[in-house]
Amino acid sequence: MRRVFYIAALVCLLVATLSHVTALPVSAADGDAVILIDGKQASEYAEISKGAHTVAARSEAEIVCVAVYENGQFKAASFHAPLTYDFPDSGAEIALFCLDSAFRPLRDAVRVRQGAAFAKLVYSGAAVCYDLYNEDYPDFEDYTVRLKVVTDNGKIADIREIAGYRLNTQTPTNDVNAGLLADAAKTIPGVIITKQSANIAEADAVTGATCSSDAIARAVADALTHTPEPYEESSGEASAPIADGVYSGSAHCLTGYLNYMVDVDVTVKDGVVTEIQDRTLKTPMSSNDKVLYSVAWRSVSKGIAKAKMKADAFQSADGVTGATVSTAGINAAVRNALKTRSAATKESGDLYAPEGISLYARVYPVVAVKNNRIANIRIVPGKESDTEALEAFAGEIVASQSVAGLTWPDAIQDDAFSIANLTDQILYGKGVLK
Amino acid sequence: MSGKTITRREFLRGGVCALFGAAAVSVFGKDFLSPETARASESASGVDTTSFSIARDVSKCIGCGKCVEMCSGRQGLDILKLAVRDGKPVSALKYAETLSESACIGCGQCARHCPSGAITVKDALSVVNAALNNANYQRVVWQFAPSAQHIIGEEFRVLTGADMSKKIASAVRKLGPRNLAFSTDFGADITIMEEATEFVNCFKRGEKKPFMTSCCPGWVNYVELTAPDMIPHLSSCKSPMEMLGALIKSYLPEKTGLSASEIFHVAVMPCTAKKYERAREEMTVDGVRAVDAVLTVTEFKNLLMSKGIDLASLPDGEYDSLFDGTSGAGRIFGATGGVCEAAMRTAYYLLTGQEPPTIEFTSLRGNDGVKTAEVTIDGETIRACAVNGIANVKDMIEDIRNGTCPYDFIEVMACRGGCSGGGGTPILFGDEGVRHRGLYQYDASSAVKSSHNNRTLSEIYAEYLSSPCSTVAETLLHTSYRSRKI
Repeated sequence: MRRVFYIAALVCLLVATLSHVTALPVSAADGDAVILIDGKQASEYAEISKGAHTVAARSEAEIVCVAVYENGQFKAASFHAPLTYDFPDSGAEIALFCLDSAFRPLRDAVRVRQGAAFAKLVYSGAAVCYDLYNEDYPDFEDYTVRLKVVTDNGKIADIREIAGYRLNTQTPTNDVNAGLLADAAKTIPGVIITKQSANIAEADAVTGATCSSDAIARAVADALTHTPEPYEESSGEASAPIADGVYSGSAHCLTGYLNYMVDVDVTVKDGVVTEIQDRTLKTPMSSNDKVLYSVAWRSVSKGIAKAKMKADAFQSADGVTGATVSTAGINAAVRNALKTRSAATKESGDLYAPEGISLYARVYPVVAVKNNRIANIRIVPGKESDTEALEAFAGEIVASQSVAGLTWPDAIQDDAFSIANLTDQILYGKGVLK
Repeated sequence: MSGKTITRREFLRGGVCALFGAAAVSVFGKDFLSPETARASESASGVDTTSFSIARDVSKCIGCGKCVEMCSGRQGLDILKLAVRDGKPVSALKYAETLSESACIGCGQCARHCPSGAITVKDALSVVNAALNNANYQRVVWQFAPSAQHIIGEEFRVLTGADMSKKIASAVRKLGPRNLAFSTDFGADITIMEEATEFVNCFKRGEKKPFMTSCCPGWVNYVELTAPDMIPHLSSCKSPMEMLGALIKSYLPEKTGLSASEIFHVAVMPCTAKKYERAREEMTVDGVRAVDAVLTVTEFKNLLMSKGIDLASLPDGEYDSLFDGTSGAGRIFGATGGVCEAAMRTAYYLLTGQEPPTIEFTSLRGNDGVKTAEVTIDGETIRACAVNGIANVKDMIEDIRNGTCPYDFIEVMACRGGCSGGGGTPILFGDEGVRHRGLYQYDASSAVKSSHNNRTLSEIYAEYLSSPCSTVAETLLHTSYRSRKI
């Protein structure tokens, strides 16, 4: 039996062209990726950014990819695996990855050449960090790395604004991921700039943050395939120093068992963080977390008062071993406060959260009530919940001042129901909802 | 809901586990994974299955203390405590070795709040599934508690408190043609007829003051185990579930020509103490158990899910007609104060022959610990009181012992919020009022508001039971209590 996998084409425009290119001879020594364009070795080929071309690649996993490449964009692709290759369920994903990695140096070269006409260009790119082996980090979840690449006369000059986001959202990823990404971001951009290639060697990757290192490299490669924007001096430059005042920020503590929300007021005086104040809401915490949180709070607030850290460069204050999650949550809340620079305002009205002595809901709402009306609903998310969609859904509740007659959006129906039902349960007894 | 697709990571993890399993079998031999070994280690670790309502497996305890917070905190029962074992906190019994030797009333709040499965509700699903597949049963009869009909929706993405009775009726039809569905509202109507009659008789003679309800099996257990001197005050009425059960095992066979043993009777309750009540010696009709199995709301949800029935998407159906015409008074049994309110409506009618001027006793509603109402008839005042939660009954009992209790009629519900907050229901994150809302809305919109206006019940009295508290009714619908003081 011959195992041939046809993956639904990326864009099925030129299926007819595919039928004759499947016979392309692709041969190479084991372990090398070889790319053929219209039957020729890629290195002999000067320009593929114009017109239609058939491209074949042979990956390290001995999967042969055949693709149609038109005006610099993929149009269609098919994949052939050797007889002995046993595809797991995610074969399609692996095949796409193979194609992506096979083409990386090629695209790199083409795009940089395209941009040569401009003195400085900014490319935005993204890549997903999938970690196959994350047993050491139970909090690890796949996340998207987004960054910007600055090229100067066709050379990679700078890699900036490296940030991690939850998959398919604009929400920052959790603190564990952010830490790993920050580790990788210290060295990998330098390596890429020195090499002038997104093809980093395994040895270059930061130990302990291999996946994040790789994701940065792939995001750079991805960026170079996109249409660049002209470089503006202000992009990525630090803006005015943080003025004196009190700023408020919040962060989620994802304990994996009972998530809760941390709110802090940060006082900045003469550009220095002098004090933080706890505004942590009446969100339910397990008794264990209450202890850990209060210990972490005492230590972090003391540390901040002593260290007199610059507000512009605040990273984190030391916490307590054993209360890592609470410490990270408090630090993240301070960072958010300084980043968004929103002035501290006491949340208007009374705040209500689910008050059951145990909470197993994946997500839950914290509801602000003013003048017997729902003023605001904040979502405390679970590990993989779609916060943006849920916030939009919560907006509907606030707009209609009722949970009756709502429909649960398909993609988030369980979480949306939890939000509506919990809002109903906690507000009914207060006489807000009838 | 779409099936979960396996991610690459889970795929690899699964592979690693499978590999480990295979390796373990090859290294340790087959016994490593055999069920016999697992069971032996379970009993060695001390699983306590002596209670009819709950089971405890200390080896699964994570020491979070939620069971203690419920048992000794909210319920004030003081059965469980946190002990220290191997330097870690662990849930333990305070004064006894096993649950059956303790004064546990089986309210199930500990099991409801246990996050790790160390305390679980005793499962009756296997018995029910076996009955559904047993051709010897000509009929499988279901009854659904008033509150259960309003709580089950929560498990199927329907907002808390919505009336699901019509959907439940369709769901039972889906379980097979042999299944019949009734609402325990009817049992509640019988209870009110019996209990109100008994109360009015006692009130006239000045006996049993104060008169206390016996609908809540947790409360009955509390009296028998902790305060047996209250037994003379208890109504002799069985609970609504047992009353309807008695008719299902006597009146229903007579109507259908079946024998009582050919009927399997399942009750879906918000309660775990009902699992004990079902097993009491007195709860039989001619030697046949009145209720064959008690499922909690959560267990019933599990049954529906295991059969692939999505309750919310079913068309509306109707309960079977043998026990229908139920009243709103029967439905509000699911809320604290509901029994008291329903009894007052009928007591007024029994004493005066007229409907009460206001049918809604709003002072008996809500989630306060003790709620009172007064009904004045010809210059005589009936003082009624509803005790919400077993922790609030201690002061009341002290007052009765001291002779300072001013009330004539006292309703006691062991769980906060009444049946709506029962141990067999999903956890609620606020006031139980959100569940009461649905019950009172049903009452407000129902055509029949008092138990004595239930026409089907009047016919059954005329045809079969003769009158409330008659000899037939006494045999079928009343019971007795004994001290089991520990």
